[in-house]
Amino acid sequence: MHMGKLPRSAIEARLAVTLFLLLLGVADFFGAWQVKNFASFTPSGVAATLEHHNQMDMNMNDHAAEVPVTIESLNQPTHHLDRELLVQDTHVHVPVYAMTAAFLAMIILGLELSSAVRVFLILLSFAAPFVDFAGLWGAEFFPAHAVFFGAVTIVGGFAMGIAYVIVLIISQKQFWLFRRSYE
Amino acid sequence: MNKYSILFCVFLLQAGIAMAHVTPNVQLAQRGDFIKASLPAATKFFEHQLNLNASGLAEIRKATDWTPSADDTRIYVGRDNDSHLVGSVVFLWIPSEHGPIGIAVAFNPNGTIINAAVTDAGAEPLTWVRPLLEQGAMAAFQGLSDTQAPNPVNVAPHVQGAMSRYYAKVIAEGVSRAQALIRAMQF
Repeated sequence: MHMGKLPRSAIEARLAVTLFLLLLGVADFFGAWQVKNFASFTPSGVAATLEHHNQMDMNMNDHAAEVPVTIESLNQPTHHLDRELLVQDTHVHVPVYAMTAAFLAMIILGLELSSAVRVFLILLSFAAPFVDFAGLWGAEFFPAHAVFFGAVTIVGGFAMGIAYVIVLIISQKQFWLFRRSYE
Repeated sequence: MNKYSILFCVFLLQAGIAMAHVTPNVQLAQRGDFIKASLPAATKFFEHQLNLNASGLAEIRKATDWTPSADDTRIYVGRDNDSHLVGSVVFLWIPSEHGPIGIAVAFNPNGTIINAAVTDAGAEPLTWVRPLLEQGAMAAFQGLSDTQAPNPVNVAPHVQGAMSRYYAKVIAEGVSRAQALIRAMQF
């Protein structure tokens, strides 16, 4: 692979990369919307999504085991991520994460960057899924530290976002905005 | 870089959080509305803890090969103004090949099913669950006593397709779990 030559490539190659990145941005936007709807952007909110309801009382009680509720409160939408759903999420999202990181890595290899910057960006891209799901599974297995692991999850999500934004800015700068003459 | 570029980057940075998402379920029925519709004579509603003793849990395991937990199961009861039991409602999640399904089953005080619904389904299983629901699948459970096992063959029998039939079994199993739980509970 000829690294760092993407800015010098034909217009159709640069166009394809630009359109891919913009489409990824659209996907990210709706993904963020989905997070807002069904999870949270705060550590405590992520922890609540994964909260264990440890109210199993093995002792036989009577009406003392009943807590008044209202119909309105029961209609409040909640999204709870139990272990089965977390297995499904991991199964579905990690491959998508991996492909996204791989595509970003290919673009990173094509940009005019120092080796150190490339290594940093590639690590950032691939670290994101590990950190994200380490946080989610950490909250599942260690509910006492769910807020901490919720923060880890958010860091993982931001890591991919940061990698994406850096790649987008650098690529657009090198492709179109401040393109050097390669003639 | 001008301020508009910075704003654009901040916007995209926020959007990048997308990767931290979780798969949402599609809500098909609201829990409160299901309880109210199933127990119209109730004026007071309570969440009932899973206060099962060891023999009750053993009975449920024997009948369903499942152990209820507060993570996947909720029980609500409706009472009238004199605090007499009007009925009980079990909400539970049952796993399936393509994601969990939320089931609601309402019982009268004798343990007979008076209403049942699928409350939530993942976007993927919904493809196969929706045809069942459109054909009135949940009516197959109404009137079953707490000892009558639900038969998945009776769940929207005109709906063909291997995956829809698979989900008919999943739903029937969920109802069966709710029945086992109600048999073991004391209100």
